[in-house]
Amino acid sequence: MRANDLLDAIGNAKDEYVHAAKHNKKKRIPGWVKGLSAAACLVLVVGAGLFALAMIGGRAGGGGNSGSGLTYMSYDGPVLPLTLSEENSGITARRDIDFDFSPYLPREEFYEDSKGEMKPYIQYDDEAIVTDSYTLTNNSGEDISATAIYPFVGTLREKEYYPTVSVDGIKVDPELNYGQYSGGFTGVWGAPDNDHAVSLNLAPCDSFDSYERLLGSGEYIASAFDEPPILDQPVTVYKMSDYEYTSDPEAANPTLNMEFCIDPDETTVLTYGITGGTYNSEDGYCARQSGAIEYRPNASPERREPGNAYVIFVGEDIDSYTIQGYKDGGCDEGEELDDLGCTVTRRETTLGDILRELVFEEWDLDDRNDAQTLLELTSELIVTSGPLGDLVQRYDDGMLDTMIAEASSHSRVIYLEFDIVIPAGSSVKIDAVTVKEASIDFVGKDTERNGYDMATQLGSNIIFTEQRASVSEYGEIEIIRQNFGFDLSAGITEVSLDLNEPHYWMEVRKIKTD
Amino acid sequence: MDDNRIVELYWDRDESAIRETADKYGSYLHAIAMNVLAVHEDAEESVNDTYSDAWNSMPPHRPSILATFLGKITRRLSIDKWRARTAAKRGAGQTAMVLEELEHCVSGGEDVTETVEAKELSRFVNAFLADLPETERSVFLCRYWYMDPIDSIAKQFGFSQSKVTSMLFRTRNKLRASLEKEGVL
Repeated sequence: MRANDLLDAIGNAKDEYVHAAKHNKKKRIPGWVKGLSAAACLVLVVGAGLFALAMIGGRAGGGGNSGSGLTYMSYDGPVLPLTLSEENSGITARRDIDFDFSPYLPREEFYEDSKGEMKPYIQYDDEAIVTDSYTLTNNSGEDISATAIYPFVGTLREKEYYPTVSVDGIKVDPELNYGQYSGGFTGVWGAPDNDHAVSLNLAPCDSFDSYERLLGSGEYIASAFDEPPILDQPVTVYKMSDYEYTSDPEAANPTLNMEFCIDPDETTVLTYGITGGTYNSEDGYCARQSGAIEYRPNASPERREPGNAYVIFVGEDIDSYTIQGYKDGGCDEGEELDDLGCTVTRRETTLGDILRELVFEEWDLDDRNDAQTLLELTSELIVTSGPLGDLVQRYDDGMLDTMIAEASSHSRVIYLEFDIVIPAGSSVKIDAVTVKEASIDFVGKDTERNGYDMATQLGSNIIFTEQRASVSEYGEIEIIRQNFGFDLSAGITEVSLDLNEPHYWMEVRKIKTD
Repeated sequence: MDDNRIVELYWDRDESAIRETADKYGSYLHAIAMNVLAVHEDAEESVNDTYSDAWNSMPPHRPSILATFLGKITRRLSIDKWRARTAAKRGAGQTAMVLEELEHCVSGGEDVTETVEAKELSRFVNAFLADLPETERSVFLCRYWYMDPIDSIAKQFGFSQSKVTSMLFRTRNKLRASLEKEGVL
């Protein structure tokens, strides 16, 4: 088949599709708002500088197919099942999953007090060690080479919670494929109805239902294996460095203020190392401030001098700018500093190149492999929810520092990819061992519940013949609620799972001792 | 004039059907032709040929969406014209770029045209399109049916050009996977 054949075939697309393509103008909505109830969010009250935690219990609701209705303020996400890069009817699998609660065992730790003495304290962790094992059997008459994919919910920077995977007892070094940020954005809790801050806060997945919606169609896993976006947009970069410090003792927060004008339809302003500014004024006037421009002799060596600041123009460059020093971030008339300055370097490059420089050279990150992944995830964030995508209010200040930081901390589904070979008529065993944090509420009536859950088949194309679950090292916990069927007092610690049940869950609490 | 009324004029063999078609859809058809050919004179020729084809097609056809019916004729005629002059005019319009992009979906596969009829391939493509989310499908067709430039698509949907490019890249990958799964590739 040639491309011309495909072009002709596309020409025979259904009339209603062709017609809709020209009559389907996408509305620019501020981000992927998931429609969560206001009570399900950790919010920032704009202007007051306070955190207000909303009350939430384990109330049912939220829709979805699993039926549990459980939601959490901090949901660690379900244990997800193994899948294959390509469906293969010659392979069947049995799954055995164990929840080991040995981290709940108290242990003695030591801390150093103000006098330098080591004092003991008792520590335990609200974690379970989950061993998710698969016996894959090749029922065909030929050896099968396949690519296995083990998904888990995690973040770029919390490597300690990444699963370790072994095949027939031999540890493998899987390739990591990162999905996009799995959550959405939402407004400010308690804000008046006419407040337009509809996408100022993060709205992470808070229930199994949200993962069903995320993973059910197969689009999410597909995007995780896509090439990262190439940011080849031309940009003009103004870099502030080599600062000249003021000698004015009255300067509480020496600040450099850069002023310029733009046409918002032609220019997008991004920044790094900038601490404030004037944004989105109707006449195109803009300002960006870099504060704390002072030498700090008592700080650690790498923090004694302020970092470089960048103002980046995507699209049309500015005609001119002014830079003026002020005694503080108010940048008020009469508070100017004439001896505060910097060197401004202008250069033309691409957005991808400057972002690479910021991530690799400016951002505090040691592992070069992580820097590359962080660059790719930041690029993806910029084109999905950032200034080059469906811009959400959270990122509409154009601060790349925020986007880089959040690309590192956003919860997402990560896919471990590794090759397996199953000889004809034989089996291989895959073990994925993960330290799983409990899903919890921070406040409210159910703060003692620690949730652990799993999906039987969500996102998997493997033909399961059986799934079994077990609990071990459970002496320190009691199960409050569950749909597994464990009965610890009766010694029922292993159960067979119904493959028609998409979601299994349990909530435990540590047994209190006097 | 209402589309049904225009179609009736064709069925009545009333030559005012051509004038009414040109008034209502002339610029639409010209835009499709220009995306392919990038030369006004050639595009005009395609559009005029479309009117002639439409006259010869109705009856027996009675299209439910007249714009798309006519657009398909223009698209086909324009692509045929482009292919005829490809050696001399390669690179003009969007067609060369579109073909390069679609090449990714078929590269590396055996030439199985003798075993996959065009009709069957169209069926595969429509099944693929049916499974796409609406926006992704529309963006895909704007690029590969209408052959709109990337910046036009970005403006229509309120996306950045980078987002359009990324979306098309992902959809082409899906199409390739779908064709491989069907054994077409």
